Parts: sequence; C-alpha cells; structure tokens
Amino acid sequence: MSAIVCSHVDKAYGATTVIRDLNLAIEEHEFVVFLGPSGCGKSTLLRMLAGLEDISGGEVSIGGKVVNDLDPGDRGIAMVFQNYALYPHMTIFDNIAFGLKRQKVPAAEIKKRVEAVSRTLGLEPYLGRKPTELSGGQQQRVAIARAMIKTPKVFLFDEPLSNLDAKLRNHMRVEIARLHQSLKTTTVYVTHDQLEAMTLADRIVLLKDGVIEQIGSPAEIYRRPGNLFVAGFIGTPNMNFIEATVAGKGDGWTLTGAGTVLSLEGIDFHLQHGDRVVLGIRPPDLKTANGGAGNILQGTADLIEFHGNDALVTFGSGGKEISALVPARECPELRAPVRYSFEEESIHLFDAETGKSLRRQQVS
Amino acid sequence: MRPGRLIAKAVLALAGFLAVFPLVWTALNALKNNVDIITRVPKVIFTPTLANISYILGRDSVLTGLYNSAVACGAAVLIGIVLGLPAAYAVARYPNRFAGDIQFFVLSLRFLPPVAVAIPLMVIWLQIGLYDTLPALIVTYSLLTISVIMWLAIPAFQGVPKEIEEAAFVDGYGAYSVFWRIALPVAARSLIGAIAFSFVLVWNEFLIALMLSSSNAKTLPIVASELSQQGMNVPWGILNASVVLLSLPPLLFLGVLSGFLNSVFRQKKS
Repeated sequence: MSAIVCSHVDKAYGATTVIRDLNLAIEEHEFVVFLGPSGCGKSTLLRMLAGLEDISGGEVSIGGKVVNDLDPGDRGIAMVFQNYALYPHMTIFDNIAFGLKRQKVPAAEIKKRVEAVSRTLGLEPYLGRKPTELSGGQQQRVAIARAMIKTPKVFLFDEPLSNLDAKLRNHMRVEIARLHQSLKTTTVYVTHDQLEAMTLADRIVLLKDGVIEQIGSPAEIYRRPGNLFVAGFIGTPNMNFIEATVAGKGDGWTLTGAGTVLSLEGIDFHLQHGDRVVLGIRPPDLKTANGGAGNILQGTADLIEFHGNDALVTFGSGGKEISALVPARECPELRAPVRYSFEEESIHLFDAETGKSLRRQQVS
Repeated sequence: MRPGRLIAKAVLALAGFLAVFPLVWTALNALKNNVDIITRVPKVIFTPTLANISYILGRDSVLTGLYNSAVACGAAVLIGIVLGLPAAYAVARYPNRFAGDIQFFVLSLRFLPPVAVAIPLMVIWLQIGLYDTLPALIVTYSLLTISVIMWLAIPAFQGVPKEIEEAAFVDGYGAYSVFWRIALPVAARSLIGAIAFSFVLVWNEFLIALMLSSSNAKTLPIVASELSQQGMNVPWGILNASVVLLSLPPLLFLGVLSGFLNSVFRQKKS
C-alpha cells in the first residue's frame, strides 16, 4: 500500500494556479525529495500534505485515508520547518514533549520517550534550556526530535538545512540519512539543493511551475533526463547544450551545429532528417582528445576554473560556450587551443521545440 | 574616553535629569510644609512632614476618587484585554476583507479630539440614565482600552513567526489552543506593553471623566484638579501629595507587570 497518494491535486490562490493536476504515489518507507527552483510549488505541495494549505482540487490520502479535510494533527504526520519553528517560550524538553502532551500521554512515559529521543540526537545536555540558547544545528536537531517523538506515519521536511552553514549542512544531511535508515519512516523532503536531493532521495520528484517534470531515482534523473529542463537543472557543472540540425547519412546521422559536424549511429534516439535538436553533454563526459578520430569539440580555452582534482575548462566553439571537466593534470594553458572528444553513450538529445528527450524508451 | 562618547554621556545624563528631577521635586514637596515650599531659595534639606499625605488620605473625596479610578480603569483594562486581544489576534492571523477597515475604525476613536467623543457619549448616558455612574465610565473607557490594545496587539501578534503556530497545529493543537499556548506567551512582552499603555491612558484621562461625572463617579484626576481651584491660596503640599498618590498606581501596575514578565521569561541557567 502506498503511504501517500496525490490524485489530480490542484492548488490555486484566486486566479493563480500554483499546482496543476498533480498525480503522485509515494511508497511506504520511501524517501522522496521534491526538488525544483524556487516558486515551483514544492513547498506548497508539502504544506498541502501537512494540512497547512487547503487543497483546491483533487484528493490526497495518507496511509489509505483521504485527508483533504483532516486537521494537521489528525493526519499522522510530523513536520520540520526551515527556520526550526521551535516554541521560544518553552524549554527544549517542553518543545519535544508538546505534541505528546496533546495526545494525553502520561507524564512518566513522556519523560521516558523524550529522554530516548534526545539520546538518539545528542540533545540530553540541553533539555532544560530555551531554544535561543542553542546553535542553529542544535535547534534543527530539536525540531527533528519534536517530529520523531510522535512516531508519525510520515515525516515532512521543508528545506530543513537551508538556514545552516555549509559544513553543518553536510553533517546534518548525513544525520538525516542515518535517521531514515534506522527509522524507515516514509519521508517527504523539500529542497532546492540538488546535492541534498541526490544524496538523500530514493526517488526525486522534480517540479517546475507546479507540474512534475520527472520522477525517478537520482541515477535515473541524472543519466536519463526526460527533458531539457531536467537536464539543465540536475548536475553541477551544468550540462552543455548545442543546438544542431539532423541529417541522415548512410547507416547513421550527422548533427551540424556550433561550428562542427558530429556523426552518430543514433540507434538510441528517434531521429529524422531535418530535425532541429539540442544535444546535451555533461562537462565530465568530455575527454581530452588524443587522436583525430571520433567526434571532436574544439576551441580556445577562455576560462579555467581550478577545482582541486579537476579543472573546468570553458571554451568557445562556433559562438557557443562549452565546458569540460578534466583532470587537473590535463588542464591546458589559458588561450591554448583545446580538443575534446566524447562517447556516443554519454550524449543526450532533445527535441528543440518541445524540449522532450528523443531517447528511445528502454525495453526491459 | 573619546570626546564624542563623553558628550553623548553628558547629553544622556542631562536628559535623564530633566526627566526625573520634576518627579523627585514633586515627591519632596509632598513631604514639606507650605512654608518650606514657598521660599525664594529652594530647600533641599527640611523637616519632613506627613501632614499633606494624611490630609489627602483623610478626605472622602480623594478616597472615593481613588476607588472610582481603580474600578473604572481596572474594569476597562480587563474588558480591553478580554475583548481586544482575541480581536487583535483574529485580525492579525485570520484577516478577511474587512480587517483593514476594522483596524482603521478602531483607531478612528483616537483620531477625534476627546471632546468630540465625549459630548455625544454624555448625551447617550444622560438619555439612558446612567450619567455620573461607574458603569457608564467603565463602558466609555473600555472603548479606549479596546482600541489601544487592539491597535498595539495586532503588530505584536503579526510578529509571532507563523511557522511556530503551524508547528503547534501539526502537533495536534486547534486554533484556540494555539492562541492560548503559543501566540499569547510568545507575544506577551509586547502585549504587556500594550496593556500597560492602555491603563496609563485611561488612568490619566481627564476630559471624558470630567464630562461624564458630576459628583458620584469622579475619578482621581478630577478630584486632584479640584484641589487647585482655590484661587491664590494654593495648598502646594497637598497638591503635590495628591499628584504622588495619582502617580503611584501606574507605577505599581508597571512594576507588577514587569515582575510578572521577568518571572515568565527569566532565562533558566543550567
């Protein structure tokens, strides 16, 4: 049974539609990340699951029960907010226990459970303090403890790490991953940070303008982006896009664009003579070319960003900026001519008009 | 110390002196005999007397005024709290299309000069037959306290982060519990200020009280002012003592409130 099902869900504020006919099923024990640029509706969707926003149309069910008209407290969910949202006038102990008190749990059991949860999260020394006396990371841990203690059916995280500094963010990310491994509670996690999404998610739901662009495992989304938006949004450094025209050539195809002609076998893609396409290739998939064979992209190195192990080389080719991520020892001089080759397996082709991937569906 | 800081401190000290000195002088004069007050050279050292204070406290009119003031202001502030705070919370958190109008209307009572408000009210109370009674004064003052408390409490409630209330909803609490257990305590600091301000406002209120009372419902400011209506023979000591008496309740009220605040918000040291 699915833990959460959204069917034909809409959300509108007056005349503005924020979420349009959204369908999604989240499995039990799954860690699903809503990812997307700001304003894509991911937080709104999460708040609709939580019951903090009305559902304008469609149906949301949690644990097999339609929750459209249930109050947040009756939905079997717990939520962690971006700015922690701790009760400032209560001690850490009371913050964590507040939800249990509502459920009329006996005081002795509350004490036992609060102690157990705070032991897991290392909060024991702070139970008597007020939230303002804690650091950001500790406060977020209290917020997680407050969510955990209710043993909810579903955890909802609304950008929980965006208020923390980079180092703490990495640390907390690992903690959340560990927590999910041990608790196995179904989790929905909203973020705009693709690193968080990639590392935490079983499945990523990529949203844009209130519409799901793609659902898939991090690997699927990275390797088989379904359209131009997904391809451009996922992956750092960003994918290179080259507009090209397709021409048939014997048993293969040629792509003409960005000042070069590339030849492909094209068996993985739906191609037609005269198609306008966008070729996508990730910077790490460009390799320094040694011989003269194969498909070559070449130009003059305009910009070199040293990353440590690697260097990002940006060069112009036919008026188009292209980046290649190469091992640092292969890093060229600035303004030197560069030549990079790539394998056909590593490319992505998209319809220039619709932006849809031209990849043939894999028959499995 | 840098000269800039020195000047700043001097200005601060001067401002503090200007603010506090008249109060201290009033308090001192309340303890002086009239001969010590009416001297060419102000006397700082004198033989203190309690005659003024005992005279004030011995007069029925003063005690009645004190009683009237306490009841009228206390009740009005209480009504202001009971009606004003929930109203302010509703406007702040569940605004409808009339929220802005409500806010404006509530304050409009304070835009008008008090006389403009007092005359119609006086007519109303005369018609109903409640003129010169405490209930009339309480209801009238409640209009003031509700408006002031609402006006100051709306931003206080808006200042409570929404997520905190949402977290409480997720924790299973309903709208009323969230108001009692989250919004009120979190906004308490600003709310106490609003309540204290409304109390001071009605405690010091003069004009409306003057127009709504003739003998029975006279409040302390009216009684105190009557003490000065004795031509050239102003009993300065008695006047000063009545001013002290008038100033004490707001001070006590603020003291109790801030003590209450400290007990609620004192940081627990572990």
